[in-house]
Amino acid sequence: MGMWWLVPLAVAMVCGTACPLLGTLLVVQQRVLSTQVMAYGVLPGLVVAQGLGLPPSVGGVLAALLTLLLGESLGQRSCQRDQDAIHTVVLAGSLSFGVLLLHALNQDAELESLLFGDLLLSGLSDLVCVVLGLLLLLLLLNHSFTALQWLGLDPQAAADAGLSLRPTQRLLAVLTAWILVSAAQAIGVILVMALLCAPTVIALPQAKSMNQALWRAAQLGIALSTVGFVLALVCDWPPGPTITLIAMLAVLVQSIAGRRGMGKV
Amino acid sequence: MDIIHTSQSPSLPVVRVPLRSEPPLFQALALHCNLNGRLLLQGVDLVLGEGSFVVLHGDNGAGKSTLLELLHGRRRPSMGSVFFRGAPHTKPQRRIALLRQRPSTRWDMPMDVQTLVDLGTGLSGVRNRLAARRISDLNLAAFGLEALARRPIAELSGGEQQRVLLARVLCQQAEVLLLDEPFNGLDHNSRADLAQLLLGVVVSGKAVLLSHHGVLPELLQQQAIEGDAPAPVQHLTLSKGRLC
Repeated sequence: MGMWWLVPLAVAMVCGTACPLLGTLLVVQQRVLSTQVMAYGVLPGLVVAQGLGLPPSVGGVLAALLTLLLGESLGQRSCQRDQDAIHTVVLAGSLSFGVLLLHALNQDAELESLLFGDLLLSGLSDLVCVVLGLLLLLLLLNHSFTALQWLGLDPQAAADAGLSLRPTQRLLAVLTAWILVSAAQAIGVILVMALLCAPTVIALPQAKSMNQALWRAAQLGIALSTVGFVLALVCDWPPGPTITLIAMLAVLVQSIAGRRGMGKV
Repeated sequence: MDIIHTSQSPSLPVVRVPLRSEPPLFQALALHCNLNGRLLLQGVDLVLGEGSFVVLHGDNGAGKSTLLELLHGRRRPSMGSVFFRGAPHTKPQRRIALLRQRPSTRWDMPMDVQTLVDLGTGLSGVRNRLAARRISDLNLAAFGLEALARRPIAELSGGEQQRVLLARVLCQQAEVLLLDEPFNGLDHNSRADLAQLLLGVVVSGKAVLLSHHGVLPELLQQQAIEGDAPAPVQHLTLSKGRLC
């Protein structure tokens, strides 16, 4: 059989660690939708970078950050009620812009590859990119843990006390863009979003501290990625959608188990 | 004997300013605030000295919260200035703590009471871990929260949440406490305890300005200055944009 599956498995496991760690930070800050906007906003950047002969990651990260800026600046001009709608419009517009650019520049690109990735074709360069993202994230967690806690708990109260959270917010945004782009190139945007959210929503309810939530989410992420990858190999299924489906089933099981534990049907 | 400043201007309320606090701890001059085309505050003057305890009364919509935000630096006045220890004060800082009427705390955060209170101590500038832990523990004890130290904040009642937020604010070791309706959600005993605690805070030279709507705890229901013996609590009313 050979060991060709080792690198793709390693990529899946590293993504299964980095994405839930990042996802825990984003979920407690209620920034999942804006992250989704970033995830789908990478396409125009990938297309332009490819057209200019630049590394796709550079274009993807810049496009993700610009899309985030656009979503947030439009959101600031409107009321709380309209925030989700505005972010959704920006998401749809960014993706559509990317498709139109593909058409205009006559570039070949498979949107299925963007959405679901080609995990089995991932190589050492993909592994290096996601490992770098994970290491930078661990550095940020170590250096700015208190600021990240404030961002999740009460950023307004932190600002009231003169504590500036902007540097941490900006670092987190850049890191999010990097992890989104590097992971999406290997495992696709859909699986990235699933790994950001599924382990987090399973780990958070029982966690008594942020440390516990992060640790449990990472463990779950590795487990889901590994199980999904092995199952896909055995059954000859595409690994990205397989892992995503398993993640969703895990959330469903946890939800049912949680409701039964609370005495609800 | 403390010198009591008497104002030449009828708009300047009389507050107790100990001789040792020059310049005044806090001074607001001719504050105006336009909000959504409405003149909410006009010509508000205020002086707070070390050891001052001021209760701000006013109807709903009178502008009490807005005045606190202006004093805090979170909001800019349309006209007028605020000074802290003689220097222009234009933005939030650690030495002036604000507790809002409706805090934006996300109570579903995975965190216990001790950690939340410790975050306040983290703002105090105290680097020594033992000293910081002592501050947290003292304030947990002051608000009767020791037994709840390990409880997840998601499981707290409304009154417990308010006490935890007050403990966190006090851990900040600010020189001025601006509290917007701090007695909201507290039961009778907790209100009395908080009043006692805040009166103790001003003894150490800090200043407290709190807004309130309704009946105050008995300890704070002091009359204004009588004769030569100033009451520890001063009462001001915000009405039609003016302080009296």
